Amino acid sequence: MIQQYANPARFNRLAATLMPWFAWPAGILIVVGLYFALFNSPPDYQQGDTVRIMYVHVPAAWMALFVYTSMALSSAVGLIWKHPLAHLSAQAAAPIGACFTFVCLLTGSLWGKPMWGTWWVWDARLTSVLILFFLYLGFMALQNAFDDPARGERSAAILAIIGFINVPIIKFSVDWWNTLHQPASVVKMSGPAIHSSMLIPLFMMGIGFTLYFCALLLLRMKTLMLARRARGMSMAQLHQQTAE
Amino acid sequence: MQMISDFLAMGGYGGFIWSAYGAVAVILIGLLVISLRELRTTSAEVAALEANSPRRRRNNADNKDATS
Repeated sequence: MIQQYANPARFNRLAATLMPWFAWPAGILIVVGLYFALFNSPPDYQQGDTVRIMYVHVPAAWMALFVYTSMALSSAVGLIWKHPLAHLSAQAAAPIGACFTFVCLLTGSLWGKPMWGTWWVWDARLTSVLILFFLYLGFMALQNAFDDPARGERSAAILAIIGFINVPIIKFSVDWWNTLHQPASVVKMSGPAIHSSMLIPLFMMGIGFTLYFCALLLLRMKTLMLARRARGMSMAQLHQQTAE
Repeated sequence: MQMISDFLAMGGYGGFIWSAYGAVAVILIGLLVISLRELRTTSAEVAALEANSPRRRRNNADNKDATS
C-alpha cells in the first residue's frame, strides 16, 4: 500500500493535501503556545522566570529524538525494503533534526548559565545530546561523501541505524548516571510531575513543533525529488549531446 | 510602561530568556525560508531542463510561446 506513494505524482498530490493540515495548526499552536509560555504561565517556585525557557527547550529536545528515530526507521526501511521514498525522507529529515538538536543545546546553555552557574558541563545528558548533534552532521556529510549517491545513501543509513543506540541512552541518561541535568518530569511511569498550567503550553509547543516538522519534511522531500529529477534530466541531455 | 519593562526584565533573567526565544525563532524560521528557497530554485531548474529537452522542443514546435 505504501509502495504506491513511491510514484512522485501521487506523493505530490498527497503532500499537497496534507500540507495545510500540518502548516496551519503548527503556526496556530506555536503562537498560542508562546502566548501561554510568556504571558499566561506561572514562574517556577525554584527557577523563577527562567522556567519559560523550558517551553522551547523541552519540545526541541523531544523533536531531536523524534526526528532521529524517524530518520533511523526510514533508513532501515530504505535498506531492507528498498522503498524509494525512504532514504529521501531520512535525507529530508536530517537538517531539521540537526536544527532542533542545536536549538535544544543552545537554549539549554542559556538556561544552565543562570540556574547552574555554567553554560556547559560534561554530564551524561548534555554529552549524549551533543553526540546526537554530531550524528546528524555525520549523516549529512556521509550522504554527500560519495560520487555515487546510492552509496552515500546506504552508508548514511547504516550510520543512522547504528547511532540509534544513542536515543535510549539520552532518554535514560538522567536515571543511569548522576547528572546535573534534572530527571524526567513529563514522560515518566508515575505520570507528569508538572502542573497543568505549565503542561498545557508545553504540549502545545510540542505538537506545534511536530506539525512544523511534518510540513517541512514534505516540503524538503518534494525538493529532493525535483533535484533527483533535474539530475536525471541533465544527465540524459548530456548523453544525448555526446551521442549527436 | 512599568508593566512592559517588568515583562521584558523577566525577573532579572530577561537576557537569557529573550536570547533563547530569539535563537529559536531565527533557527526555525531560517530553516523554513532556506527550504522554501531551495524548493523554488530546484523547481526552476527542472522547468528549465524540461524546456530544453529535445522531446519537449519537438512537442512544442507548433507552439510559438514555447520558444521564449
